[in-house]
Amino acid sequence: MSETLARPGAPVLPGGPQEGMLVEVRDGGEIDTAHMNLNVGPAHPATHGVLRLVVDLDGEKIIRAQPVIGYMHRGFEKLAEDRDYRQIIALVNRHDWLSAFCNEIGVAVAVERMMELEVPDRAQWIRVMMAEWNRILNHLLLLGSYALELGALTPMFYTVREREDIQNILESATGGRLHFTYCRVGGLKEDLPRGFLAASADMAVRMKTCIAQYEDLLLGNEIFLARTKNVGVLPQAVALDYGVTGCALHATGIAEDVRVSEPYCAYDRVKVRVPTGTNGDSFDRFKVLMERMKASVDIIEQVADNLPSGPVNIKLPKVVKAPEGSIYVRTENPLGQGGYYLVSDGQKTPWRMKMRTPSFSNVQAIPYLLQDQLMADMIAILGSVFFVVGDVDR
Amino acid sequence: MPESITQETMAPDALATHFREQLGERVVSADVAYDQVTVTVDPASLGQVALFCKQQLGMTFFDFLGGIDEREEGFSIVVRVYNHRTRQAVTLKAMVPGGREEPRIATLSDVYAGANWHERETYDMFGIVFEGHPALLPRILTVENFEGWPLRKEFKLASRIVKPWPGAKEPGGGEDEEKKAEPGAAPGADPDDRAAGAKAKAERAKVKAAAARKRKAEEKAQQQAEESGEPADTETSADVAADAETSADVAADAETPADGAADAETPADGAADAETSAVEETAAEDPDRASEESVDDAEPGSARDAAAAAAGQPTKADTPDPTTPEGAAQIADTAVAKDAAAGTTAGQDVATGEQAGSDEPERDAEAEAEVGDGGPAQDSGTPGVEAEGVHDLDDSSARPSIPRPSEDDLLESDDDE
Repeated sequence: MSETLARPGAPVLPGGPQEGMLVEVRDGGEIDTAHMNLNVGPAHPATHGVLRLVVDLDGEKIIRAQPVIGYMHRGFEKLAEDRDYRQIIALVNRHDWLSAFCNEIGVAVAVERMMELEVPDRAQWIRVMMAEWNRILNHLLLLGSYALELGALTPMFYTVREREDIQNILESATGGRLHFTYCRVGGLKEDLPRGFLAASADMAVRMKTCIAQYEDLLLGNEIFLARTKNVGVLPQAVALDYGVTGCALHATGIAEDVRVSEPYCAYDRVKVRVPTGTNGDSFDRFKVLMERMKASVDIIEQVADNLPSGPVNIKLPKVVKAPEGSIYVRTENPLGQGGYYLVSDGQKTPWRMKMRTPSFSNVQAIPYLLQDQLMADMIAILGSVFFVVGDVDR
Repeated sequence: MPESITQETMAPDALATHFREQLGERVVSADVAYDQVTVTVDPASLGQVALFCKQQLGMTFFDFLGGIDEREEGFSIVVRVYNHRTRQAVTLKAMVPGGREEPRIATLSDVYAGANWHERETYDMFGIVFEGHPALLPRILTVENFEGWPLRKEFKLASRIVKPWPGAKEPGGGEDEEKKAEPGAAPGADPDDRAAGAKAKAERAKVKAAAARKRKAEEKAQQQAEESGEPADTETSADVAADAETSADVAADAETPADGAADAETPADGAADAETSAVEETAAEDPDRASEESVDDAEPGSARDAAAAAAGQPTKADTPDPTTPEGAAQIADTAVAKDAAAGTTAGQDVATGEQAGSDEPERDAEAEAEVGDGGPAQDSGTPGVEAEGVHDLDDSSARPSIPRPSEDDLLESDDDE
């Protein structure tokens, strides 16, 4: 290998060596470009928030990609230490704004287990139903935006249409469209309103045809397949080592799902289908996302068939104090496994509440996924890991 | 897959025993709580134990790693690893050597790749140094030049430094909160202290309620002064004096009556005097009304007392009191608050000088007294929801003046009593 100046008068290629630029020429005559350091974000549309990536490029190939996080750090763990257990439920709604209800459940279950509260059956079943609707809401948005990033504009219109309808149904019960705050320690805020179950059942039927529509739109699309198949392959061992969960883990073929392995609420009484992939590539992750929506619709229908009657709440003591000790409660959030490690010293507020968020662990695997990939595939890989930056930074 | 990986699922108790038997002295204790196994290990052999979990028990899934503030003993870290085949998990816990001064422990990022960011986060939040970690810096979540370790207990929430909890009840337990923050004093360890704290709180609430009642009486006097044809600016200054009195109740930052008035942004000097004479005149002119006032649970002429109190308060403003806006403003100039402002939005409260509703404080102060006495705080719902209206009970001096209550308001508040 020898160093030389680019020949004067040589044809100038866009992005290639310019006249007078120092280039390396391999013995075979191949031109080796200088490494380029590219900053992506923190306000890049493809990063779903304020994630920043510092990418080292060799031509079009990514040599190294380093995510820079923390732009949305709001100190939720510290805030929780200053709040009553019942107030924390409103707090955990917010770090992952697409999985509000699933996050609420985790805190409520943790406090209930520590206080040994008997939660009414009806509340447990409704929690399952709400969590699944929340999951579908989440997946609809991710599905639409992923297609959007790959250049397919139309699916987003379809998914937002369904999102609106589902949000209207949930709003009738919870009063919220994004931050539901419907869960309470010991049950739920209130019972379902009249007409909710009918609307929910109608929507579940409609969702089945809608999901088929999305599949028609995307899964047969040649461009979509070309951009996702065998792109960003995540091996099983690496996924486990980094603690990757959710669609990205299922796509590798590991069917680890908290709803099955450690059921909470009424998940032990419903049949949960966990779709898995085989390759662990972007396409598999996307396919799993799609299949998970179908599975969620199934669960919603099972809940509707089995919903017991009765109260949805218990009378709590005026002061909610978890006994001394620690507990770890994990839930299957739309983005992966969420967990709360709660340390109580017997006070009204937790001594420590460690939040294990799926996005944090998933994003950690991004450098591995982007290594030696083409820059053009970065968007396809980044989008398929399915994360929310608020969930990364907390 | 190595042959030695345990494939059968063990009960939590059996797993705990397995740890004790296999690892001997490296395990300090192995407990089962809520069906979850927590193994406390010797910090020096945390890496070995983690490797044992990964290789022998097949716990290849890295769940999380985090720190815990262990008061005077320093810090501990917890690591949870999981075997997705047998669905078994273990939480490893280790005290970090070095106490609170220099917490250092060996990294796990060479055993589990996922520990890398979790350790960076723990370093960022607690200042625990992980030896052998590839790069703990730059700080992962906070800004690069952030000073302090946010999740240590001595690091106070900035919004709490400039402003006390606005609700009737402190979720952390009022005075206990301060105790909790000091490493060395286990919170709630001394029940007597807690009881004393509650008592003090009740006392404070009573004083506040009394002050509110006093002010109500003053407002009434004012009203009467107006009726008896006093010049309008005298009334405003009476308002200010009343205002100064309330703030004196909290922080006594009015050095002289003129200062108190200036704080409240009114030019009228000698406000207290004018106000006192107004009250006297009213009392002389209308004995009926004066007697009505005494029925009203406030001594006649309490406004005069109040004005005198405002004038005669000793100067205590040397040390900034964070519970008042003035004190907070002073604090805001110091480096502490600047740090704090970097981390949170606390400074806003001071800057905007949030105003409380004009007729709110009286009722709330009474409610608080009730709480302090053990009365009903709230029957249901989320605690602190009602805090909205209680905001800035102590901030009355931040307002230019209390809007003069209308006659209807006064009648209403009479009914309340």
